[in-house]
Amino acid sequence: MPRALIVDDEEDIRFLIRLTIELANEGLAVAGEAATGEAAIASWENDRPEVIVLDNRMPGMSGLEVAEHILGQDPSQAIILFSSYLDDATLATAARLGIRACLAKGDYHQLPDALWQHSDDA
Amino acid sequence: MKFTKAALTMAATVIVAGAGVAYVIEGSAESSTAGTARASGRATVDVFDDVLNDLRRTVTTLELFSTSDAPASRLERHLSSTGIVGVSHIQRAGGAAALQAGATPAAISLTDITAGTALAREAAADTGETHVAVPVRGAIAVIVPVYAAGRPVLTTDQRRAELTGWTVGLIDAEALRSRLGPSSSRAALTVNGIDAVTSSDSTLKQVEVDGTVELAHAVWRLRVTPEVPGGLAGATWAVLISSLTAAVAVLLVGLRDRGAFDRIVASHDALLRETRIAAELGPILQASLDLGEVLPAVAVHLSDEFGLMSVALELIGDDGSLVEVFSMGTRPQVSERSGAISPAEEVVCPLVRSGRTVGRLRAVPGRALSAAEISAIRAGAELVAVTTSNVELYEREQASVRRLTELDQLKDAFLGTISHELRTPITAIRGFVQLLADRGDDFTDEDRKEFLQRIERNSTSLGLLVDDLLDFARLDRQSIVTPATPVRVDLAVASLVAQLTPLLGEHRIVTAFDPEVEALADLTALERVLANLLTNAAKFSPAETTIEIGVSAGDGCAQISIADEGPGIAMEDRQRIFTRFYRGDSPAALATRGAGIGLAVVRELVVQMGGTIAVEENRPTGTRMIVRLPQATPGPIRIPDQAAVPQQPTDTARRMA
Repeated sequence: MPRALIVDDEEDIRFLIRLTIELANEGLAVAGEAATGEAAIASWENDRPEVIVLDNRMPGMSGLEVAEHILGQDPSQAIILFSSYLDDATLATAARLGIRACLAKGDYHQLPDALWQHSDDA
Repeated sequence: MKFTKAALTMAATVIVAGAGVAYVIEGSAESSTAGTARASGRATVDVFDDVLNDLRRTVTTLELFSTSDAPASRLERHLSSTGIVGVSHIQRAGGAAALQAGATPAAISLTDITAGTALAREAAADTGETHVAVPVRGAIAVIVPVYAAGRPVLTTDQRRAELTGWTVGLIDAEALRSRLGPSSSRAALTVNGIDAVTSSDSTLKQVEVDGTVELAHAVWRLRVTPEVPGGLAGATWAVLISSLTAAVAVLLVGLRDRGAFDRIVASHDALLRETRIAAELGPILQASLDLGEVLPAVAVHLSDEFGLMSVALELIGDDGSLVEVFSMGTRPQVSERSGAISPAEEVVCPLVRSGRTVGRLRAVPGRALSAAEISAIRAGAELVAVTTSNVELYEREQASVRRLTELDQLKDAFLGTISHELRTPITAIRGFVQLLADRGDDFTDEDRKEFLQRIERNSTSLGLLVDDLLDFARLDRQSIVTPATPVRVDLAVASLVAQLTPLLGEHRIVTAFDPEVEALADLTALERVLANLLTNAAKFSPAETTIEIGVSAGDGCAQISIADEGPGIAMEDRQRIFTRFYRGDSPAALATRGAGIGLAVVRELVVQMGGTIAVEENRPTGTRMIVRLPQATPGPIRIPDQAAVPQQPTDTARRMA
């Protein structure tokens, strides 16, 4: 059962993602939540979730910085960048770092499929 | 032709040969210049060093000797008696030229001379050089400026100031032509390309003589074209040459008497030196727009050229004071100055650009400098002034480009931030609405209530942000405050606190309102101010801490204070937080979201209402924001300004005054 780590500084968004994953009832589970990049890295080191749903714009470390850190240690880690602002530069950096997919926040309902697809890859 | 040793002697032999005709002229000056005129000095004149049309030439030297006991006027008189040559002095008086004395050929009036030589005299006076004019009836005027004795005439300004008049030598072309004989009635004579005697016969082609005379640093070209085949008679040549030479000789005598010749030579040297320095410094100054590269190169060049001990450049700064931007070498200490080195030995050249003094160049020479050298250093300083101005313009342009680049980056960052700030609450609202619509039955009443609360909180937050953005967009264009009316501040604040409870839910709210506090305000603007300050207080302080909201009256003001127990705002940030897009880099700022426009909008709204906003420390920790608005009670209203944001005058403020 793929477990997802939810990283977003907005509690409402984390709650929404959690509900979306749980309601999908497709064998997905939530490994945990983190409100900052630093907390996300700590949580990842402890839980090693199959996939990470990662916001980009956060106070402190950005999502891309978190991804760079994690993928630097484990390039096989599945990460989905889940951001409300995906410009060309962000997409290019994400591809360079090895992030599996980028999903706009408005498309949150596509999250379960994306989680399955990319956690399978892992 | 009889040659006698006379006071003025042409001790030379000039042989002109060509077109089968050879002219031998020996001592030709005698016939027209015999006499006892003497003057000190000696001039060497090369005659006919260039001959055209197959004329071979042998040039020797005409040496003019004179003795000092014969006044120039005697020579002039003698010359004028020939009817060919005259000498006049024109004295500058009160800015206008007045003919003081002179002996002129009969056919030429004094008025003709003064009027016809005005431009040439002006040119001669400014340059210090001899000029030529054809004032009237083909008379050739050779003009030499005369300056006050013993005064420096190295620059144009000095020459204009010290000019006392002009000596004008005249060759009467009509008389000359008649002396050349009937056959030369159609001869042409040009001096420096100016037709002195023109011919009406277009068949007149053959140039008999074309030569130059160099004197007083000017070259005079003499060209004679006779009609008669075989050329002019030797005697005629003698008359021609002696006439011109005599005119020059008289001028030299006059110059020598006044000492002007030396000054002209000095002036000429200075000009040459200035020109050379300008030519040498030009490429150095144009090599770069970096003063750090250019100034050392200029200083080294000047030091090498003039043996300078030190060179320093000072520019006038923004505050009007002189700032040394470059120095090289060793300047004498004050103690040394009191001894052998006098302050006058430092050369100080103002740097002037477009009539504005932009700085000065200071140079301490290691040896005595001549006036010409000082003048050349000044010329160098003028070029440096041009360069510094160009550099200043270039740096301004560069700064402008940098500002635009920063603005562009700021705009990109702002778009990214604002896009995120808008989409996040929209995503939450849409998500919870969709959950309720699609799966509402799957949730308990409590769940559904929680979803609705989340929707409400996010829509309130979104609404505030949109209001901020709209106000922000209008800030620069118009007043966003309607005319102030009396507002019950205590009630307005209480009402707003109730509305914002969803956003303040995790904090303890403590209120202390004086009753019936009124202020002149725009209610909508006041609500916008309070909403921003309250949400900021909640955002920047931990949950479960207290937010104090106070309303009071005093000093002619209604005062609203909002205090939190967050980390507080550093002293150096207390003004900057009202700057657009400024978010600070404190941990508290980094740990929260924001577009950096809320407080900029708040300040503008408060100022437009005629109030002030200030930041204070909340003890033991936190921030206290204090808004003061004009109180709506009879009597004079005073707005305290302690530690307040500087306010701009507004319509409201003016009405209150």
